[in-house]
Amino acid sequence: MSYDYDVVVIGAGPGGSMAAKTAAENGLDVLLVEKRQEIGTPVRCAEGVSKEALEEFFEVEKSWIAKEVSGAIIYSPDGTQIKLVAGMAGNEVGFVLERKIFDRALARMAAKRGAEVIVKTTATTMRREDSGVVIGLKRLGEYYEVRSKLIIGADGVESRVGKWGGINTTVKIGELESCVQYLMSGIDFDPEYTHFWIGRKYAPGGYVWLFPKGEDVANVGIGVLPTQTKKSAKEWLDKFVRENYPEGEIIEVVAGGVPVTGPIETAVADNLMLVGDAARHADPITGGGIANAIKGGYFAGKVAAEAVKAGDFSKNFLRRYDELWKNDFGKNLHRNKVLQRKFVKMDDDVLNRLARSISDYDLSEISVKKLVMELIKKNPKLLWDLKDLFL
Amino acid sequence: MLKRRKDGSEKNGRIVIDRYKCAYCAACIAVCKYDANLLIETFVQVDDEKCTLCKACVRACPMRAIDVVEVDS
Repeated sequence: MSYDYDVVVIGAGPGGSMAAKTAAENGLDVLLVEKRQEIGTPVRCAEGVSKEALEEFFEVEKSWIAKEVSGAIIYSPDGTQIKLVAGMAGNEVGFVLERKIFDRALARMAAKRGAEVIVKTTATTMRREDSGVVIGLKRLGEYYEVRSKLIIGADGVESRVGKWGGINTTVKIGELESCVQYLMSGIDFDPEYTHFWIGRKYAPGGYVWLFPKGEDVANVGIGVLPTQTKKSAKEWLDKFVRENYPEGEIIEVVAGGVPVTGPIETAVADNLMLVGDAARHADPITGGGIANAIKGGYFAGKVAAEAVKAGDFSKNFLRRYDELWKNDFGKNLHRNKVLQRKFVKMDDDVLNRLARSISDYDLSEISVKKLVMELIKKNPKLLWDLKDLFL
Repeated sequence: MLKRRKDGSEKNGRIVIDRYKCAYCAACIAVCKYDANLLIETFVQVDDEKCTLCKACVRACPMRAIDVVEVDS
């Protein structure tokens, strides 16, 4: 059959736009499809990402960044603090993004490299024909079909593309962080740090976060595991806000479901690759998804170009993409999934004990790995089963 | 209206989404084993034929926007 495109990317979040940009840069004919009428809204995200993760791929523009932070403070249920501070020479600072601007900038980059972008268009069906795929699109009520050699599903936590390809991406109820976040203004906090509250007291199976977006403006949000509580994420967040920031005004509400499944067996099928939340690439401990989505999008775009060059769109060929993401961040997903399983089982007393064991000095790196390594050193018996993964 | 699940058992109710509470986050869709929920931009549509009333979506919803209402048989 004749093809309209080499690759159609479904979803214009960071993962999809990165895949489209990379594929276009490598000379492919690309269509980037976004179902919403505006790229970048409504966000479903706390907007935190490490500086390194962005600088690996972009000349970071000031307008993308709402706030730069130099450390993180974790509060255990009894108020014990653990401080993680970026080292003197360290590059490990964090960015709190302005996703509305960042997502659009990425989509524009993809367009600039030659990708065609359409919004307010939903991909509704997919079928295989000859060695390609026929994708059904509904744009402003009008149904039409496009033919493509490849499809990249960057269609988020609710991904349908994976299911079309026969990849069962249904998230178990015990592996979905149910999240709500308020953008709050007029509240008092230390804007040089991101802040995390852990424990059943605050957020069963998850945590509460505060990510500064300015001096007195911050994303205050929560993730809970539905299997750990009967109350909704919103009820838990309202309680936290009432007790801690009653003076603040809520100027935006966002909700989200974050998959914390750990790595899936494969993110490819014939003619098809999955990227970002659609591939369940969010970090099971932090819930962060932007860095892996961008990397995954880059890998998928590269492999798409190789596949087109080779004229081979089979699952077997596309396994190169699996190899790339597994060798890169796949190990971290696995490690942090093991950690998350253990974390969910810890009661507040255990968390307090762990926090107290390392509260008297500051950690010189903002990373889960560094934090857990220190905890294991101080609590070898309690955390012996994590030893091989982290040390 | 009494409905029958695929396994022959009966269900007596349906999923209702409160449009004023829903924030279109799609958590309900991610956990649906039966592909009964679909997000159309800012509108979650429930396919009553596919839905088995397993209530996974009710539990996953961060906004508590989803409920099961009983339907008279």
